[in-house]
Amino acid sequence: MSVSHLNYTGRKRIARTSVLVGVGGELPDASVVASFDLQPYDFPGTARVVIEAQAGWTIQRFDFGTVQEYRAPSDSRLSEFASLAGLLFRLKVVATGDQEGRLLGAADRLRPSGATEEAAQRSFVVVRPEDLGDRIWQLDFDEHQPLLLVNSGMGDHHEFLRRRSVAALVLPEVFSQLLRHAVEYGSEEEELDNWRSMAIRMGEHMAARSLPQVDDPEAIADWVDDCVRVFCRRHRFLEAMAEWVEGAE
Amino acid sequence: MFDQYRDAMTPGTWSWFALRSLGVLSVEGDSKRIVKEDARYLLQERDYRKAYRHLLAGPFLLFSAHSNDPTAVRGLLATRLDAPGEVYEQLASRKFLITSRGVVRLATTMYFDESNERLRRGAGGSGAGSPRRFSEVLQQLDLTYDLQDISNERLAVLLPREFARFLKAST
Repeated sequence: MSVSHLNYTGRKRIARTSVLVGVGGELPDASVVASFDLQPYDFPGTARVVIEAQAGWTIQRFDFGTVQEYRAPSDSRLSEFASLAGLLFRLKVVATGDQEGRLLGAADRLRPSGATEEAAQRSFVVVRPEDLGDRIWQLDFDEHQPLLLVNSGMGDHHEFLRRRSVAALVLPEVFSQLLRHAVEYGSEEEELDNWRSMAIRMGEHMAARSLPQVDDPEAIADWVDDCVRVFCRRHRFLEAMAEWVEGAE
Repeated sequence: MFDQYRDAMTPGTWSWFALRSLGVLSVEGDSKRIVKEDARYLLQERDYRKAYRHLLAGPFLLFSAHSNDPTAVRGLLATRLDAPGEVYEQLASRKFLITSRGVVRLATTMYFDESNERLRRGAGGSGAGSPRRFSEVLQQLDLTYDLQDISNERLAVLLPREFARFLKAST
């Protein structure tokens, strides 16, 4: 069943393909770089273009001039950020004059272009290396997305997770935590591309049944178990571990 | 100054401070000790939904985010340390609200009585014009207005009539 979105606000949704935003350099001198094509949207030329960078507690705004006159900010450094983990951008087109402050268009949850994390391009979980002491991995939840942190001592974190034996031990628990978090916090937004909605849809596809609508912790736990069980079966994790054990002996 | 402290304070340090101050942070009313949920004392930095609830880190980060105009957050911090109150809880739970100078300034203007240095009557409720309704209305306005940059005066004009008594009380 398709779901249509009803827009009563008059605000135009700017396609992600119309915006290119990225990070140049590294902290503390990392800077925002951005380009965009707003011509198809018929915004007034005097409307302001603003890009907000957001990660964790921090939001920092950058003024990019107006629709008719692009102007890079005099200081585009991400100076408010101690870390760029989970960094997302939002582009806003804001009216001036009589309609001062009115949002004419927006593009939300833009990832920095050229992100190297393969997982970020394929799924809603961002994978990052992190100093975790002796802990190998940890799943955290930013306001916008889950963050799978892999101990930076493991080297190339993508390569590490690609090993079937590692995936077999890590990913089922990651999936389980994702689902439980998604169910517990639900979705505050109507948009279907919210990661919690995506996680629940993935689970429903795995389990071949919908998330129980009753507030029954046991029923929900059973549902999560079913999802994870199918997930493991599809990826043949038992086979992967058996092979690894056999090779190790 | 606040940026230096913000970057230096780790989750472990905040948690230590909170637990060290448990005698203050867990006392309520007639000295009956009530220990609240873990998130109030143990900082869960990466999960914003819990991080703002830390009784020490939450207010500090709010204050440091508006350190260039600290009077703007008086209305959000005008309660006991162990009981943040509705104004704080309703706005701090939404990161896009708490980082807006116009929003916090207007919240202080409406709900904080400068002359008596306390929250106005009704600032703790959930009815018309309450902080809970303010948060709900702001979430709707965020769809159509750039709340991050809006002035408190402009925002006040956009509020529905139910907020009139708090806006009037502030004049």
